[in-house]
Amino acid sequence: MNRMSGVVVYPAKFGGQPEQERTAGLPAQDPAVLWRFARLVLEAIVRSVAAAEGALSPPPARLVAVDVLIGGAAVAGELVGQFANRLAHAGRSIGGGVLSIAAGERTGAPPALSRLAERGRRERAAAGADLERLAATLVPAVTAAVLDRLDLTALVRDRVKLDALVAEVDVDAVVARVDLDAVAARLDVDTVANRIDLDAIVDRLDLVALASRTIEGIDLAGIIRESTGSVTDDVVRGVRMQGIQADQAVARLVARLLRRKPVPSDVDGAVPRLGAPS
Amino acid sequence: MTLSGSRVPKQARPFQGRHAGVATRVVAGGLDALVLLALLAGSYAVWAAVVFLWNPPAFRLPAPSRALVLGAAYLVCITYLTVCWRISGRTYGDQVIGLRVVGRGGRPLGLAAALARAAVCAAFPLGLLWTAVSRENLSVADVLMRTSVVYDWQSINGAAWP
Repeated sequence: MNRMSGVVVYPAKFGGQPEQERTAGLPAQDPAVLWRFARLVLEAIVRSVAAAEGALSPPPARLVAVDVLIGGAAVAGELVGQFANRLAHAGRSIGGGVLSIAAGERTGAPPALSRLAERGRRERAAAGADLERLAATLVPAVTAAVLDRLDLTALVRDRVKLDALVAEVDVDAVVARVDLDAVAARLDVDTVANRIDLDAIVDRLDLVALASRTIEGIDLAGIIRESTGSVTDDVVRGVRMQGIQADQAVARLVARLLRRKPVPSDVDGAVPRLGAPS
Repeated sequence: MTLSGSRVPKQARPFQGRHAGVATRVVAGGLDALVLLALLAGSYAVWAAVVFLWNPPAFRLPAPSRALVLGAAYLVCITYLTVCWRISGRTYGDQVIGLRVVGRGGRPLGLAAALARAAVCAAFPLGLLWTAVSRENLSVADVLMRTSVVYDWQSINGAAWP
Protein backbone atom coordinates (compact mmCIF):
# COMPACT_ATOMS: atom_id res chain seq x y z
CA MET A 1 0.00 0.00 0.00
CA ASN A 2 1.37 3.29 -1.06
CA ARG A 3 -0.05 5.61 1.52
CA MET A 4 1.83 8.62 0.21
CA SER A 5 0.42 8.51 -3.24
CA GLY A 6 -2.97 7.42 -2.03
CA VAL A 7 -3.40 5.19 -5.11
CA VAL A 8 -3.98 1.66 -4.07
CA VAL A 9 -4.72 -1.28 -6.33
CA TYR A 10 -6.52 -3.99 -4.45
CA PRO A 11 -7.26 -7.47 -5.73
CA ALA A 12 -10.95 -7.82 -6.04
CA LYS A 13 -11.02 -11.23 -4.37
CA PHE A 14 -9.93 -9.69 -1.12
CA GLY A 15 -12.71 -7.20 -1.12
CA GLY A 16 -10.47 -4.24 -1.68
CA GLN A 17 -8.10 -5.02 1.21
CA PRO A 18 -4.38 -4.51 0.52
CA GLU A 19 -2.03 -7.48 0.56
CA GLN A 20 0.39 -6.05 3.06
CA GLU A 21 -2.23 -4.97 5.49
CA ARG A 22 -3.97 -8.27 5.17
CA THR A 23 -0.84 -10.02 6.40
CA ALA A 24 -0.18 -7.49 9.10
CA GLY A 25 -1.65 -7.65 12.58
CA LEU A 26 -4.98 -6.15 13.39
CA PRO A 27 -3.53 -3.47 15.68
CA ALA A 28 -1.60 -2.07 12.69
CA GLN A 29 -4.46 -2.54 10.22
CA ASP A 30 -7.41 -1.08 12.07
CA PRO A 31 -6.41 2.59 12.02
CA ALA A 32 -5.74 2.46 8.27
CA VAL A 33 -8.98 0.72 7.56
CA LEU A 34 -10.83 3.14 9.78
CA TRP A 35 -9.15 6.00 8.06
CA ARG A 36 -10.04 4.70 4.65
CA PHE A 37 -13.59 4.26 5.73
CA ALA A 38 -13.73 7.72 7.21
CA ARG A 39 -12.13 9.10 4.08
CA LEU A 40 -14.70 7.37 1.99
CA VAL A 41 -17.51 8.75 4.08
CA LEU A 42 -16.05 12.22 3.92
CA GLU A 43 -15.73 12.06 0.17
CA ALA A 44 -19.25 10.81 -0.15
CA ILE A 45 -20.49 13.59 2.08
CA VAL A 46 -18.59 16.19 0.10
CA ARG A 47 -19.99 14.92 -3.18
CA SER A 48 -23.48 14.65 -1.80
CA VAL A 49 -23.40 18.18 -0.48
CA ALA A 50 -21.99 19.42 -3.73
CA ALA A 51 -24.66 17.66 -5.70
CA ALA A 52 -27.37 18.87 -3.37
CA GLU A 53 -26.32 22.45 -3.74
CA GLY A 54 -26.05 22.08 -7.49
CA ALA A 55 -22.51 23.29 -7.32
CA LEU A 56 -20.61 21.57 -10.05
CA SER A 57 -17.45 23.45 -9.15
CA PRO A 58 -17.30 24.42 -5.49
CA PRO A 59 -15.43 27.52 -4.51
CA PRO A 60 -11.71 26.81 -4.53
CA ALA A 61 -11.20 28.22 -1.05
CA ARG A 62 -13.74 25.91 0.35
CA LEU A 63 -12.25 22.96 -1.51
CA VAL A 64 -8.81 23.82 -0.26
CA ALA A 65 -10.15 24.05 3.24
CA VAL A 66 -11.63 20.65 2.89
CA ASP A 67 -8.38 19.34 1.52
CA VAL A 68 -6.50 20.84 4.44
CA LEU A 69 -8.88 19.27 6.87
CA ILE A 70 -8.65 15.92 5.19
CA GLY A 71 -4.89 16.15 4.95
CA GLY A 72 -4.60 17.01 8.61
CA ALA A 73 -6.89 14.20 9.49
CA ALA A 74 -4.85 11.84 7.37
CA VAL A 75 -1.62 12.80 9.02
CA ALA A 76 -3.18 12.62 12.44
CA GLY A 77 -4.66 9.28 11.68
CA GLU A 78 -1.38 8.03 10.32
CA LEU A 79 0.45 9.22 13.39
CA VAL A 80 -2.12 7.62 15.58
CA GLY A 81 -1.80 4.43 13.61
CA GLN A 82 1.95 4.42 13.80
CA PHE A 83 1.80 5.24 17.45
CA ALA A 84 -0.56 2.39 18.06
CA ASN A 85 1.57 0.13 15.97
CA ARG A 86 4.58 0.98 17.90
CA LEU A 87 2.82 0.43 21.14
CA ALA A 88 1.82 -2.97 19.90
CA HIS A 89 5.35 -3.84 18.98
CA ALA A 90 6.87 -2.26 22.05
CA GLY A 91 6.71 -5.37 24.07
CA ARG A 92 8.44 -7.42 21.41
CA SER A 93 11.19 -5.02 20.48
CA ILE A 94 11.86 -2.68 23.38
CA GLY A 95 15.57 -2.58 22.66
CA GLY A 96 15.05 -2.15 19.04
CA GLY A 97 15.05 1.49 19.59
CA VAL A 98 15.23 2.48 16.13
CA LEU A 99 12.24 4.60 15.50
CA SER A 100 11.70 5.58 12.00
CA ILE A 101 9.68 8.61 12.59
CA ALA A 102 8.42 9.07 9.14
CA ALA A 103 5.84 11.38 10.53
CA GLY A 104 8.49 13.85 11.23
CA GLU A 105 9.20 14.03 7.51
CA ARG A 106 5.68 15.00 6.87
CA THR A 107 4.92 17.37 9.70
CA GLY A 108 8.15 19.20 10.35
CA ALA A 109 8.22 21.59 7.46
CA PRO A 110 7.04 25.12 7.98
CA PRO A 111 4.70 25.37 4.95
CA ALA A 112 2.65 22.85 6.71
CA LEU A 113 -0.65 24.05 5.37
CA SER A 114 0.34 23.63 1.75
CA ARG A 115 1.71 20.21 2.43
CA LEU A 116 -1.43 19.33 4.28
CA ALA A 117 -3.50 20.56 1.38
CA GLU A 118 -1.45 18.52 -1.03
CA ARG A 119 -1.85 15.52 1.15
CA GLY A 120 -5.53 16.18 1.43
CA ARG A 121 -5.90 16.33 -2.37
CA ARG A 122 -4.18 13.03 -2.76
CA GLU A 123 -6.33 11.55 -0.06
CA ARG A 124 -9.40 12.86 -1.74
CA ALA A 125 -8.31 11.50 -5.07
CA ALA A 126 -7.73 8.15 -3.47
CA ALA A 127 -11.08 8.37 -1.73
CA GLY A 128 -12.74 9.23 -5.02
CA ALA A 129 -11.18 6.22 -6.67
CA ASP A 130 -12.28 4.07 -3.79
CA LEU A 131 -15.76 5.53 -4.01
CA GLU A 132 -15.96 4.87 -7.73
CA ARG A 133 -14.86 1.27 -7.24
CA LEU A 134 -17.27 0.86 -4.40
CA ALA A 135 -20.09 2.27 -6.47
CA ALA A 136 -19.15 0.13 -9.45
CA THR A 137 -19.31 -2.91 -7.23
CA LEU A 138 -22.26 -2.03 -5.10
CA VAL A 139 -24.62 -0.29 -7.51
CA PRO A 140 -25.17 -3.26 -9.84
CA ALA A 141 -25.54 -5.63 -6.93
CA VAL A 142 -27.87 -3.32 -5.03
CA THR A 143 -29.84 -2.54 -8.13
CA ALA A 144 -30.24 -6.19 -8.97
CA ALA A 145 -31.29 -6.96 -5.43
CA VAL A 146 -33.81 -4.14 -5.43
CA LEU A 147 -35.21 -5.12 -8.82
CA ASP A 148 -35.49 -8.72 -7.69
CA ARG A 149 -37.65 -7.61 -4.80
CA LEU A 150 -39.89 -5.35 -6.87
CA ASP A 151 -42.76 -6.31 -9.16
CA LEU A 152 -42.01 -3.80 -11.85
CA THR A 153 -45.01 -4.82 -13.91
CA ALA A 154 -47.40 -4.15 -11.06
CA LEU A 155 -45.47 -1.03 -10.16
CA VAL A 156 -45.78 0.36 -13.65
CA ARG A 157 -49.42 -0.66 -13.83
CA ASP A 158 -50.21 1.09 -10.55
CA ARG A 159 -47.94 4.09 -10.76
CA VAL A 160 -47.62 4.93 -14.43
CA LYS A 161 -50.40 6.52 -16.46
CA LEU A 162 -49.92 4.47 -19.58
CA ASP A 163 -52.83 6.11 -21.36
CA ALA A 164 -51.24 9.50 -20.94
CA LEU A 165 -47.92 8.21 -22.23
CA VAL A 166 -49.48 6.48 -25.21
CA ALA A 167 -51.54 9.55 -26.00
CA GLU A 168 -48.37 11.52 -26.46
CA VAL A 169 -46.90 9.00 -28.86
CA ASP A 170 -47.02 10.09 -32.49
CA VAL A 171 -48.21 6.82 -33.95
CA ASP A 172 -48.25 8.21 -37.47
CA ALA A 173 -44.61 9.11 -37.22
CA VAL A 174 -43.80 5.65 -35.89
CA VAL A 175 -45.72 3.98 -38.69
CA ALA A 176 -44.12 6.26 -41.24
CA ARG A 177 -40.72 5.02 -40.16
CA VAL A 178 -41.72 1.40 -40.57
CA ASP A 179 -40.96 -0.24 -43.90
CA LEU A 180 -44.25 -2.04 -44.32
CA ASP A 181 -43.21 -3.47 -47.66
CA ALA A 182 -40.25 -5.17 -46.06
CA VAL A 183 -42.47 -6.46 -43.26
CA ALA A 184 -45.02 -7.77 -45.75
CA ALA A 185 -42.26 -9.40 -47.80
CA ARG A 186 -41.16 -11.33 -44.74
CA LEU A 187 -44.63 -12.69 -44.10
CA ASP A 188 -45.37 -16.26 -45.10
CA VAL A 189 -48.89 -15.81 -46.33
CA ASP A 190 -49.43 -19.53 -46.75
CA THR A 191 -48.56 -20.17 -43.13
CA VAL A 192 -50.87 -17.40 -42.00
CA ALA A 193 -53.65 -18.74 -44.16
CA ASN A 194 -53.16 -22.24 -42.79
CA ARG A 195 -53.60 -20.91 -39.28
CA ILE A 196 -56.96 -19.35 -40.07
CA ASP A 197 -59.90 -21.35 -38.79
CA LEU A 198 -62.27 -20.86 -41.66
CA ASP A 199 -64.87 -23.11 -40.09
CA ALA A 200 -65.07 -20.86 -37.06
CA ILE A 201 -65.43 -17.84 -39.30
CA VAL A 202 -68.14 -19.44 -41.37
CA ASP A 203 -69.96 -20.52 -38.21
CA ARG A 204 -70.09 -16.90 -37.13
CA LEU A 205 -71.59 -15.77 -40.41
CA ASP A 206 -75.32 -15.54 -40.93
CA LEU A 207 -75.24 -17.00 -44.40
CA VAL A 208 -79.01 -16.95 -44.77
CA ALA A 209 -79.22 -13.25 -44.04
CA LEU A 210 -76.21 -12.61 -46.24
CA ALA A 211 -77.77 -14.51 -49.12
CA SER A 212 -81.05 -12.69 -48.64
CA ARG A 213 -79.35 -9.32 -48.78
CA THR A 214 -77.42 -10.38 -51.84
CA ILE A 215 -80.53 -11.57 -53.65
CA GLU A 216 -82.31 -8.35 -52.75
CA GLY A 217 -79.39 -6.36 -54.05
CA ILE A 218 -79.20 -8.06 -57.42
CA ASP A 219 -83.00 -8.38 -57.90
CA LEU A 220 -82.75 -12.04 -58.84
CA ALA A 221 -86.50 -12.29 -59.34
CA GLY A 222 -86.39 -9.47 -61.84
CA ILE A 223 -83.52 -11.06 -63.73
CA ILE A 224 -85.33 -14.40 -63.93
CA ARG A 225 -88.51 -12.67 -65.03
CA GLU A 226 -86.76 -10.70 -67.73
CA SER A 227 -84.72 -13.64 -68.95
CA THR A 228 -87.81 -15.89 -69.04
CA GLY A 229 -89.79 -13.27 -70.91
CA SER A 230 -86.94 -12.78 -73.33
CA VAL A 231 -86.71 -16.49 -74.05
CA THR A 232 -90.48 -16.67 -74.56
CA ASP A 233 -90.42 -13.73 -76.93
CA ASP A 234 -87.63 -15.31 -78.95
CA VAL A 235 -89.57 -18.56 -79.25
CA VAL A 236 -92.74 -16.79 -80.32
CA ARG A 237 -90.88 -14.71 -82.89
CA GLY A 238 -89.33 -17.86 -84.30
CA VAL A 239 -92.72 -19.59 -84.57
CA ARG A 240 -94.24 -16.58 -86.27
CA MET A 241 -91.43 -16.25 -88.81
CA GLN A 242 -91.65 -19.94 -89.60
CA GLY A 243 -95.43 -19.54 -90.05
CA ILE A 244 -94.92 -16.74 -92.58
CA GLN A 245 -92.39 -18.83 -94.48
CA ALA A 246 -94.82 -21.76 -94.42
CA ASP A 247 -97.56 -19.54 -95.84
CA GLN A 248 -95.30 -18.53 -98.71
CA ALA A 249 -94.32 -22.11 -99.38
CA VAL A 250 -97.96 -23.23 -99.48
CA ALA A 251 -98.87 -20.34 -101.76
CA ARG A 252 -96.11 -21.29 -104.22
CA LEU A 253 -97.15 -24.94 -104.11
CA VAL A 254 -100.80 -24.13 -104.78
CA ALA A 255 -99.84 -21.78 -107.60
CA ARG A 256 -97.77 -24.51 -109.21
CA LEU A 257 -100.60 -27.04 -108.84
CA LEU A 258 -103.22 -24.70 -110.22
CA ARG A 259 -100.85 -23.50 -112.93
CA ARG A 260 -101.13 -19.98 -111.77
CA LYS A 261 -98.66 -17.27 -112.24
CA PRO A 262 -95.75 -18.16 -109.97
CA VAL A 263 -95.91 -16.39 -106.67
CA PRO A 264 -92.93 -14.09 -106.21
CA SER A 265 -90.67 -15.00 -103.39
CA ASP A 266 -90.36 -11.39 -102.29
CA VAL A 267 -92.70 -9.95 -99.80
CA ASP A 268 -94.46 -7.44 -101.99
CA GLY A 269 -95.87 -10.04 -104.32
CA ALA A 270 -96.56 -12.77 -101.85
CA VAL A 271 -99.78 -11.65 -100.22
CA PRO A 272 -101.90 -8.58 -100.65
CA ARG A 273 -101.52 -5.77 -98.20
CA LEU A 274 -104.32 -4.84 -95.86
CA GLY A 275 -106.98 -2.81 -97.59
CA ALA A 276 -105.91 -3.94 -101.04
CA PRO A 277 -108.76 -4.81 -103.36
CA SER A 278 -109.66 -8.43 -102.90
CA MET B 1 -99.67 -14.57 -74.36
CA THR B 2 -98.57 -11.06 -75.17
CA LEU B 3 -95.50 -9.43 -76.55
CA SER B 4 -95.96 -6.23 -74.68
CA GLY B 5 -92.97 -4.02 -74.93
CA SER B 6 -91.47 -6.05 -77.76
CA ARG B 7 -90.64 -4.62 -81.12
CA VAL B 8 -91.29 -6.27 -84.45
CA PRO B 9 -88.07 -7.71 -85.88
CA LYS B 10 -86.75 -6.08 -88.99
CA GLN B 11 -87.25 -9.16 -91.16
CA ALA B 12 -90.93 -9.40 -90.12
CA ARG B 13 -91.90 -5.78 -90.63
CA PRO B 14 -92.65 -6.06 -94.37
CA PHE B 15 -95.28 -8.71 -93.65
CA GLN B 16 -97.22 -6.69 -91.11
CA GLY B 17 -100.72 -5.94 -92.35
CA ARG B 18 -100.64 -8.45 -95.20
CA HIS B 19 -103.17 -11.27 -95.54
CA ALA B 20 -102.06 -14.31 -93.63
CA GLY B 21 -101.73 -17.64 -95.42
CA VAL B 22 -103.36 -20.92 -94.72
CA ALA B 23 -100.48 -22.35 -92.68
CA THR B 24 -100.46 -19.71 -89.99
CA ARG B 25 -104.25 -19.63 -89.86
CA VAL B 26 -104.50 -23.39 -89.47
CA VAL B 27 -101.94 -23.31 -86.66
CA ALA B 28 -103.86 -20.53 -84.95
CA GLY B 29 -107.09 -22.46 -85.46
CA GLY B 30 -105.51 -25.54 -83.92
CA LEU B 31 -104.52 -23.58 -80.83
CA ASP B 32 -108.04 -22.22 -80.61
CA ALA B 33 -109.39 -25.76 -80.88
CA LEU B 34 -107.28 -26.73 -77.91
CA VAL B 35 -108.63 -23.77 -76.00
CA LEU B 36 -112.19 -24.82 -76.88
CA LEU B 37 -111.49 -28.36 -75.74
CA ALA B 38 -110.18 -27.01 -72.45
CA LEU B 39 -113.27 -24.86 -72.07
CA LEU B 40 -115.54 -27.81 -72.79
CA ALA B 41 -113.63 -30.04 -70.41
CA GLY B 42 -113.81 -27.37 -67.76
CA SER B 43 -117.51 -26.95 -68.30
CA TYR B 44 -118.00 -30.69 -68.01
CA ALA B 45 -115.95 -30.74 -64.79
CA VAL B 46 -118.01 -27.95 -63.33
CA TRP B 47 -121.16 -29.76 -64.32
CA ALA B 48 -119.97 -32.97 -62.69
CA ALA B 49 -118.96 -31.13 -59.53
CA VAL B 50 -122.34 -29.50 -59.27
CA VAL B 51 -124.04 -32.86 -59.70
CA PHE B 52 -121.81 -34.37 -57.06
CA LEU B 53 -122.51 -31.61 -54.59
CA TRP B 54 -126.20 -31.79 -55.30
CA ASN B 55 -126.50 -35.43 -54.39
CA PRO B 56 -123.21 -37.11 -53.53
CA PRO B 57 -124.57 -40.63 -52.78
CA ALA B 58 -126.25 -40.85 -56.15
CA PHE B 59 -123.33 -39.26 -58.01
CA ARG B 60 -122.55 -40.57 -61.46
CA LEU B 61 -120.53 -38.92 -64.10
CA PRO B 62 -122.79 -37.02 -66.47
CA ALA B 63 -123.22 -38.72 -69.82
CA PRO B 64 -124.45 -36.02 -72.18
CA SER B 65 -125.89 -36.97 -75.52
CA ARG B 66 -124.01 -36.30 -78.77
CA ALA B 67 -126.46 -33.60 -79.70
CA LEU B 68 -125.91 -31.92 -76.37
CA VAL B 69 -122.17 -32.12 -76.77
CA LEU B 70 -122.24 -30.75 -80.28
CA GLY B 71 -124.66 -28.06 -79.26
CA ALA B 72 -122.57 -27.06 -76.29
CA ALA B 73 -119.40 -27.09 -78.38
CA TYR B 74 -121.04 -24.96 -81.04
CA LEU B 75 -122.31 -22.54 -78.44
CA VAL B 76 -118.98 -22.30 -76.62
CA CYS B 77 -117.11 -21.88 -79.90
CA ILE B 78 -119.35 -19.07 -81.11
CA THR B 79 -119.14 -17.32 -77.77
CA TYR B 80 -115.38 -17.63 -77.58
CA LEU B 81 -114.75 -16.40 -81.12
CA THR B 82 -117.25 -13.57 -80.89
CA VAL B 83 -115.90 -12.22 -77.65
CA CYS B 84 -112.27 -12.42 -78.80
CA TRP B 85 -112.83 -10.85 -82.21
CA ARG B 86 -115.03 -8.14 -80.80
CA ILE B 87 -112.67 -7.18 -78.05
CA SER B 88 -109.25 -7.48 -79.65
CA GLY B 89 -109.75 -8.88 -83.11
CA ARG B 90 -107.74 -11.95 -82.24
CA THR B 91 -108.20 -15.23 -80.42
CA TYR B 92 -105.57 -16.91 -78.32
CA GLY B 93 -104.23 -18.74 -81.37
CA ASP B 94 -104.13 -15.50 -83.34
CA GLN B 95 -102.29 -13.85 -80.48
CA VAL B 96 -99.60 -16.52 -80.41
CA ILE B 97 -99.09 -16.66 -84.18
CA GLY B 98 -99.41 -12.90 -84.59
CA LEU B 99 -102.67 -12.60 -86.57
CA ARG B 100 -105.63 -10.27 -86.39
CA VAL B 101 -109.13 -10.43 -87.88
CA VAL B 102 -110.19 -7.14 -89.44
CA GLY B 103 -113.16 -5.88 -91.38
CA ARG B 104 -113.27 -3.65 -94.37
CA GLY B 105 -110.33 -1.29 -94.57
CA GLY B 106 -108.78 -2.90 -91.57
CA ARG B 107 -111.43 -1.74 -89.15
CA PRO B 108 -112.19 -3.84 -86.09
CA LEU B 109 -115.20 -6.09 -86.28
CA GLY B 110 -118.44 -5.03 -84.74
CA LEU B 111 -120.47 -7.30 -82.53
CA ALA B 112 -122.78 -8.41 -85.31
CA ALA B 113 -119.96 -9.03 -87.75
CA ALA B 114 -118.00 -10.91 -85.12
CA LEU B 115 -121.02 -13.02 -84.21
CA ALA B 116 -121.87 -13.77 -87.83
CA ARG B 117 -118.30 -14.67 -88.70
CA ALA B 118 -118.07 -16.85 -85.58
CA ALA B 119 -121.30 -18.65 -86.58
CA VAL B 120 -119.98 -19.30 -90.07
CA CYS B 121 -116.56 -20.49 -88.84
CA ALA B 122 -118.17 -22.78 -86.25
CA ALA B 123 -120.62 -24.23 -88.74
CA PHE B 124 -118.13 -24.74 -91.55
CA PRO B 125 -114.61 -24.89 -90.13
CA LEU B 126 -113.22 -26.52 -93.26
CA GLY B 127 -113.91 -23.27 -95.04
CA LEU B 128 -110.56 -22.14 -93.60
CA LEU B 129 -108.83 -24.32 -96.17
CA TRP B 130 -110.13 -22.10 -98.96
CA THR B 131 -107.42 -19.74 -97.90
CA ALA B 132 -104.90 -21.92 -99.66
CA VAL B 133 -106.80 -21.71 -102.92
CA SER B 134 -107.79 -18.07 -102.68
CA ARG B 135 -105.47 -15.65 -104.44
CA GLU B 136 -106.04 -13.15 -101.62
CA ASN B 137 -105.71 -15.69 -98.83
CA LEU B 138 -109.40 -15.42 -97.93
CA SER B 139 -111.36 -18.17 -96.24
CA VAL B 140 -115.04 -18.90 -96.87
CA ALA B 141 -115.96 -16.86 -93.81
CA ASP B 142 -113.83 -13.99 -95.08
CA VAL B 143 -115.53 -14.09 -98.45
CA LEU B 144 -118.99 -14.22 -96.93
CA MET B 145 -118.41 -11.64 -94.22
CA ARG B 146 -115.96 -9.52 -96.20
CA THR B 147 -113.31 -9.80 -93.56
CA SER B 148 -109.67 -10.77 -93.67
CA VAL B 149 -106.91 -12.04 -91.42
CA VAL B 150 -103.63 -10.17 -91.46
CA TYR B 151 -100.21 -10.49 -89.88
CA ASP B 152 -100.09 -8.29 -86.83
CA TRP B 153 -97.28 -8.87 -84.37
CA GLN B 154 -98.01 -5.79 -82.40
CA SER B 155 -99.83 -6.03 -79.13
CA ILE B 156 -103.21 -4.42 -78.73
CA ASN B 157 -101.69 -1.28 -77.33
CA GLY B 158 -98.67 -1.47 -79.56
CA ALA B 159 -97.69 0.91 -82.28
CA ALA B 160 -99.08 0.71 -85.80
CA TRP B 161 -97.35 -1.23 -88.48
CA PRO B 162 -94.19 0.32 -89.76
